[in-house]
Amino acid sequence: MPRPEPAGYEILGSAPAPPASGVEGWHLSVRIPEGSPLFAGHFPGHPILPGVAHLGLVARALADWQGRKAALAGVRGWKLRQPVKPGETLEVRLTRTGEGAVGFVLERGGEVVSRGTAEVAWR
Amino acid sequence: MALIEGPPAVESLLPHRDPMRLVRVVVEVAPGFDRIRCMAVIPPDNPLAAGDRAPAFLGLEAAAQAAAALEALARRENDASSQGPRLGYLVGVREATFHSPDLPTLEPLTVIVQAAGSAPPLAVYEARIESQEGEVLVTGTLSTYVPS
Repeated sequence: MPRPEPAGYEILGSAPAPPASGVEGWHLSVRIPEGSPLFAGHFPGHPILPGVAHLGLVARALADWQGRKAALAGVRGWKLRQPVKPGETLEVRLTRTGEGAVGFVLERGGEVVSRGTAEVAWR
Repeated sequence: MALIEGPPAVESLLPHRDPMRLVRVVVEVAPGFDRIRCMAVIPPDNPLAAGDRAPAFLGLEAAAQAAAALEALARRENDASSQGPRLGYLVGVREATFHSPDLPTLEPLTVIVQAAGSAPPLAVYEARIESQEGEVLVTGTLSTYVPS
């Protein structure tokens, strides 16, 4: 049974990208429950997941993938296309795009909510 | 006797509230409303913080809030009836560099945002975040969307 992480989301799954996909990557599935602290103050009466919380999920997926904590050293070409609301489930997909860089896509029900490239500084 | 007025209360400019509101004070606004300097503080109960540190990418939220404050002040200047904050969204970051892996909580950070172009309701800003000592912590170019 998934439990809310201290970070305010429930991990439904975290595993390597399927071999059939042909890419080296990682897939993290999370649910952001209503009442998650990630929505606190953003905004009262109109809760929307802060864009920076998307990066928090990317960092979590990176850490799961590499087995060690990662700090983002930068982000490029990041586009946020759809707001994320309480109770929604997100699929965070990472792909290795080069030395020290990973592409990321966050999807909700097959719809892209944000995508970009993160530069990674391993700790 | 002249009345002394301080900078506008940030709560009147932004829809954000604690623990996600990071911008605490508007320090300076350029006369043309194309540049703003704010003081931000990350509260330790911010959901992305862990103890006395927070990931550096949280600085992008501070930058977006500073941009939102600048837009709110410009709206007030152009339309006296436009007083309340509006919901706005961070919709893109062309590029950002996190010069430090993390940011301190409970310490003042300087957030400087410069307008770099707009096609309303979209706008682009150059942002820089510095520590109290003037160390550059975060730089980036971000885009916001404020529906009318």
